[in-house]
Amino acid sequence: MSDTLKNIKNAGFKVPNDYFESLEDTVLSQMKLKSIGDSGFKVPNGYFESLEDTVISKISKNENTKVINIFTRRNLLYISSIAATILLLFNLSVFNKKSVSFETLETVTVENYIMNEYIGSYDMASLLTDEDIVDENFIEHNFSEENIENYILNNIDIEYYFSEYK
Amino acid sequence: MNDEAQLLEDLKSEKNKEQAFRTLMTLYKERLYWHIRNIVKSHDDADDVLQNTFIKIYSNIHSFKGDSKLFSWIYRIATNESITLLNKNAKQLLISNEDLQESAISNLPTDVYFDGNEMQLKLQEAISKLPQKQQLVFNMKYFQDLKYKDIADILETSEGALKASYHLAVKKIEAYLTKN
Repeated sequence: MSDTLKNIKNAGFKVPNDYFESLEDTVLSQMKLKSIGDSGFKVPNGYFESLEDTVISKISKNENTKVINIFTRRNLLYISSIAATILLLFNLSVFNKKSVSFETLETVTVENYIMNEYIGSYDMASLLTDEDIVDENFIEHNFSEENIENYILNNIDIEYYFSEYK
Repeated sequence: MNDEAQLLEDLKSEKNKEQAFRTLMTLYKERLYWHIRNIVKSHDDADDVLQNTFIKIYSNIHSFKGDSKLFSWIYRIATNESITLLNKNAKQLLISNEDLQESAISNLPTDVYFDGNEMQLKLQEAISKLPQKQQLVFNMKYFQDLKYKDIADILETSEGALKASYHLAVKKIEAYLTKN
């Protein structure tokens, strides 16, 4: 034997840890189980013999299944009513993007609205801001004395104001 | 060209498809049936799943890339179909998977297609107490004697993990049988 061969004593194979310790247990368990035999499950007579034919016929049936026609009368009715509804909606102003803004309103419309609807003075007042009331509202008219006198004489019950008994 | 490659080619060809499919069914029907039956327990369910599995194989053969073995691919479909059925049944009955299993086992004694003795019934009970994946591993190794390598391909788990899982399952089952 060569020197090299003499020095190789170990084959180099290794075993997992605990292999031998658990070996007996494992083998014994297996043997105990094996003594139980098979699973106990049984199969009907002739089951396997007819299997191929059964499966092939199922596959043929799947491939020959009636193609369901989606263009049935009922479906057409549904589809056309849906289409009509959509068309209707498009024609209604519901879908109109044109929005109403104050600028598009005619002055007459606004005036009519104010006249016909009862807009109380409080509502009106709440719309006014301090800025709305500006000096220009109380324009300084340079009324001539004459015009003022005429106005007083014509429009006011002077007797009432001069009366002592008020 | 080897047998499997030839079979695959025929399965994907229009002309030979049906005959090749019959061949495939003949080759796999019994093994697949028992694999499925061990999971779903009743014959009727196993029959449904087996047929669905073959129909799925037929419909999807074109998408089988050949990056795994045909065998593993087929078993994987069968496994998934079995679990899907169990989940569906549990959901329909509004019970948990564990409760469904328990009820399936309790039906075995009156099942026409179960003629197991008391020990075999106890074994089924013991198996049903295991976590789902461990049950799969146990059934495949113990009843079907599949190689760890094949189980690893089917379940896409490492061989080492499977071995550990199997040994643990055996221990648990033994303990259950001893206690009961």
